[in-house]
Parts: sequence; structure tokens; C-alpha cells
Amino acid sequence: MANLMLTNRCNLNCDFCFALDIMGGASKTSLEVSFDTFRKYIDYLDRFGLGQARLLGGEPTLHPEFSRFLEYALSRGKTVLIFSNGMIPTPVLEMLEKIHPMDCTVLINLTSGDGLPSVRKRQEVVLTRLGQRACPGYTIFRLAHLQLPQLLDIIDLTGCQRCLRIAMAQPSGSSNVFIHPKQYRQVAQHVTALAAEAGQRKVRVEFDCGFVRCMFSNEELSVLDKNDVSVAWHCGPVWDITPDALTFPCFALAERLQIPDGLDHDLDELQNKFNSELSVLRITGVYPECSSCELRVTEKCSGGCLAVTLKRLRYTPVTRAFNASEAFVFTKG
Amino acid sequence: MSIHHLMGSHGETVENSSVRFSSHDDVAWLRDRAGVFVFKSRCQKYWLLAGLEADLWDWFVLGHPLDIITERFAAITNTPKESARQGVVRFVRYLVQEEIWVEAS
Repeated sequence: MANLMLTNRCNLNCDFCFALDIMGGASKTSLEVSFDTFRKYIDYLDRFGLGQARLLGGEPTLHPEFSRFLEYALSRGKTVLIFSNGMIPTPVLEMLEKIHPMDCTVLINLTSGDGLPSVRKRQEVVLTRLGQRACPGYTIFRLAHLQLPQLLDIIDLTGCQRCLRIAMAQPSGSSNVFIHPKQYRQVAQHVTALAAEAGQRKVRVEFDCGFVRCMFSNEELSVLDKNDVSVAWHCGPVWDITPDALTFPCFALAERLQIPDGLDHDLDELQNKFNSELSVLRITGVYPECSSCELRVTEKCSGGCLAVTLKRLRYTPVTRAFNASEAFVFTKG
Repeated sequence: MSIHHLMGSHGETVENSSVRFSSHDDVAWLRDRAGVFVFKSRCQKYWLLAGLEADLWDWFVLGHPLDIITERFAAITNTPKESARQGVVRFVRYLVQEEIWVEAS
């Protein structure tokens, strides 16, 4: 899988945003994908037998040529997945309404705008108009006033897909707000309460990457199981490609590994690069207990988000000096 | 911390150390329940320093003088100081052999 970032512009400014460092703020240059690059991206998907074009931003629907990109991707036989904050311009919304739900899904992150009434109102309008084309999601980035079951009311109200994709905000670059592993237990309690109510209301809850199994008690896990929650204990980086073709294995890891002109490399090459640079760190995880945990060792749990593990690393250089006799002992043989 | 301060706890003056070691540029580490993981990510290698080795790593990272490290090591292992010193030497030699530490100019 590979996501293409159409633009770094966004009409919101969210504290949790994992693309914050790459976003086009006032002091940063605006980046927009050209049609040539978009065509190259679709060719790239063809080359590796990938049927889904995954478009993100910024807010991807703000790209002035978004409708043209969408038409082109569909004409090339791709299904399209759009990662949106829900603040979709009306002309784009009108176009999306005409596309068959099987061909296009808009994943709308309801965290965007942080519940600001005007934003939430627009998100509800968009969810209503897109109906089965829209799948709501939520990124937990703080615990105060967290009211996850309210999201179920929005699903009932709007008639969008009866699913809810739940993520935890992960550290990305230097500036976003994220959930610390010490808070995971509290997150688990909120998510379990959500799952219990979602099950009753026939809404399917799905986990995004970065959750760890041990954040849930056995009782909570049985609630998730009983309510058919799609659990996942993995960290599965998907390559993100910026408008200028800078490529990295998800935004959260962009600080550690960036490959220029990613569309010129095949996916195996990119994966090999990732393996050589970062996979050695998989031996451990977000907690000090991860490396000796049976679930981690047997790869039933990834140990959480690799970007969180990276935060645990220390790079302080050690420099020690030894006198002549000691040096002789240290270096001989 | 000066070299003199590092090496001079017996009162001897060490004006010029003959060797300095620095951790390799690519080295990062973290402390886990199992011990200290030392990573050299660019060559896909890691080492797990467990038990006393993890303690020695921490003391070196914290910049403790060699004699203090040796005294602590002797106390923990309940061995004479000279024997403890040999243990510390073996550990440093291991770090150098594995190129976790490299000779610095």
C-alpha cells in the first residue's frame, strides 16, 4: 500500500495531526501534487498490482485538481480511499455523491476540529450526503472530556457506514499531541465502554495500528470479542508519498527515514530500506516489558507503534578516556 | 569532565590519556526489563546487556569515574578490587571489539 499526499494545505489546525511538521503553515511552502505526478502514482499502483488509490493531505479535497484526479483514478480502474477531515468543499462533495459507494470511500476523522460546533455541523452534513461512501473515524489524543459514545449518535443521525475506526494519536515529529503509553490503560477503558454500546447499536468498531494487547484486561478483551470489535495489535507502516515525492514509512516515522523520489523505487526496495534502518528496533516496544513479553516474542503483538519505541531510545554519546596501561589492556587481542 | 578527573582518583596525575573511546555514531540504546538494548540500526545489529553488564553500561553512560565503577562492581560481585577491575576491563574490551565503542581522536 502507498498513500499519496495531494496537498499539504489544510483548512483545520489540529493539535494531534501527525502531519503537522510537514503541513503548510504560514511559514511553509505550499506543496501540491501535479497531474503528471498523480499519473505516475497510478502507474506505480498498476506496476505493483495495487487496486486502491489512497489519497491524503493536508485536506486532500482542497487540491484545485482533486476532481480531475478522482476521475482519472476511477477511469484507470482504481477504487479510491480518501482521508479527510470532513471539511470538503461543496463542488467536490457534489462530485463524490455521484460515485458508487463501492468505488470510493471517504474516511472522515471526527477528531478534526476537536468538536468545534461549526466543524462538527459540516462533518455531519458531509457524512449525511456521502451516506455509505463515508466511514467515520476518531483519533484519541487526550483523555479529558472524552465522550466516545457520542460518535455513535452521529452515525445514527447521518446514515453513514455503521463502522467506527478508532486510532490513538502517535508521536510524529516534534510538535503534535499524542497519547503516552502510560495513558493506554485509560484509553482501553474508554474503548471498551464504546465497544459495548456500539455492539448494542450494531456499529462495528475497528482498531487502527498502535494498540497493544496488554492495555486491555482479560475482561475488557472479552467485551471487545463479544461485540465483534476488529482488534489489531500491530504497527503496520504504509508508505506515504508527499507532493514532491519524498517518501517515508508513515508520517510518524518520517523523522527517522525519508527516501527522495519514492515513486522511482519499487515497494520491495522501500521495504528493504525500512528493514535495514528500523526493523532491528522491533525487538522491543513501547513498554520496558515488551522485549520479554511472550506475545511480542511470538509476534502476536508488535509492541505498539514504532514511533513510540523510538521515543524511548537514548542517543547521548559516551566518551571515555583511559590511561596508557589501561588502554593496553583494553585494546590488546 | 576532564580526563584528569576521570582517571586520577588514586592521586596519580594523568596528563595525557593514550586512548579515548566514544560510542559509535550509529549507537542508540534503551533500558528494558530484560536489560539494556544497544542498537546499531544501520547494520541491523543489537546487543542485550543483562544483569551486571547493564549496570556497567549505565555507570559508564552516567560518566562515573573508572575507580568508582570498579569499587561498585567489586561490592556487587563480592570480589576483590583487582578481580573486579578485570571484569570491567573485559566489558570495555567487549564494547570495543563489537565496535559499539570506537577509538576517538
